[in-house]
Amino acid sequence: MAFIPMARTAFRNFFTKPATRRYPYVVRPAFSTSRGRILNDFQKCILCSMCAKHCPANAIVVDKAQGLWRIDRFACVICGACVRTCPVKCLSISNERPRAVDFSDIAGRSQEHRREVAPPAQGAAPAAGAPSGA
Amino acid sequence: MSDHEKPAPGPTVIPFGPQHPVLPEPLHFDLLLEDEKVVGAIPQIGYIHRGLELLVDKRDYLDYVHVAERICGICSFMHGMGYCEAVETVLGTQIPDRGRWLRTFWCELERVHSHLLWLGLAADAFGFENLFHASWRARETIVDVAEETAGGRVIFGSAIVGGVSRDPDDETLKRCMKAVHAVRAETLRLAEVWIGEPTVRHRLSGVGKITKDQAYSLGAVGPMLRASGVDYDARRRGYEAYGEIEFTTVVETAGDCMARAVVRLREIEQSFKIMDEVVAKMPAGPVSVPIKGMPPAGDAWNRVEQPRGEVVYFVRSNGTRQLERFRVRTPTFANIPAMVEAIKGASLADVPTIILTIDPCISCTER
Repeated sequence: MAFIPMARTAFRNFFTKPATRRYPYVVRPAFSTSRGRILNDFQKCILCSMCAKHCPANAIVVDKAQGLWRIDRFACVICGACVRTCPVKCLSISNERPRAVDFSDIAGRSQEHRREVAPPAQGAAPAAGAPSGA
Repeated sequence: MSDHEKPAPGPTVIPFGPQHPVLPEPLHFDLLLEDEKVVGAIPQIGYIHRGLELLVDKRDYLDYVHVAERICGICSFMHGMGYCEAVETVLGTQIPDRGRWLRTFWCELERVHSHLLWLGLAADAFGFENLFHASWRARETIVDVAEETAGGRVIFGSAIVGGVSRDPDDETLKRCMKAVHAVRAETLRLAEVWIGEPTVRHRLSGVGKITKDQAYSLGAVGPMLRASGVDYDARRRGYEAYGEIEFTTVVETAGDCMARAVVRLREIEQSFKIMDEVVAKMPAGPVSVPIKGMPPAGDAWNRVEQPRGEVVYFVRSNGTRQLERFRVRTPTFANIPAMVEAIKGASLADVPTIILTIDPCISCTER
């Protein structure tokens, strides 16, 4: 009689569905609140680099002079600190979680946005012209 | 030649860890044996120090919460929350009611998920694979609830200075509680096995005994302390919403491995009750207050009851955006002296079980 408690649990397992999914074929849809990945609506981005400054993992690189915004997807911990500090609200957390193989589509391990930057104005001194605001 | 004939006097030293099948994390023991009996144990840690405390003076004090959360992979939310509470004390900020109640909800969710994880690991340590699978299957629902409400499965990421960053609506919380109630039924069945199954009893009863006086004087915390009959729980301090919720502190008196398992099983039941009450009484309103500017110079202590026991935080601000000092005293660190005492007198085969019953979290301890 003494072995009954676990035997009952084990016996029940014969009549229940498997607890696991056949993962690559059966994927549980992500919750709408899941932290999947950080997306940047680059049209709105002003390259202020507040996100890079507040990133606890130093995953974001912003270079205003070159019109560059880059996130290292492997370093990003999807904490959302950048989303909270973004002044123009161009950053968002998407619930989509790409499969590991999908990373091969992205050159290297980072994703970047680039924008054509107007050359420094003619009148400015060429040596100090790199971080010019206009 | 003569070395072979004359065995060296004194006990035999058997190294245990840092790599050992039952240890999820690296911890080393030099076990002093006389025959099969352990007469002494010398612990050694220091394999996974990451220097997270030092990062506090390199990060903005509002962003450091995400680093603090990563001190531990299991009690992550409570580490983040403990840091936030200490910083809020320095700032003199009162967080909104809904924020406090949501923090309580996530704390208890984390306690359930941590205890179920431990039940599985402990069952695995004494070779009960089926019980291990059953515990982790139940835990899976809990981490799903965490993902649905907070956004992350084990790193919730929802604690921020000034409140919480996520606000699950009441409907989501009620739906999640339905899933939690299914886990509750499953946990009751697991408890039946833990308490009723003779194989489990044979491995755990009377093993690794710690008396009430020993537990208290060696500074044990959490289930280790409560299993020896000391009624102490940092939640009684009434932080967050715990002051407005009814719950009982689970105390057992046997002080052995079985008692520590039973304390955790009964604590899971208490956590379910607390979550029920929190969701039923959840107040409406904002979940956080905006924090702007520099923190004033000053320091603060904070104590939080984690699944493994009481954790102590200290922060010191020098008036800039980077804090000067952050210190964590984790429950595993406090439990190591009591664990060494519990190992003495046990047989070598029982050592893994005794080490697991304190629920060691070495990553927390070394930070």
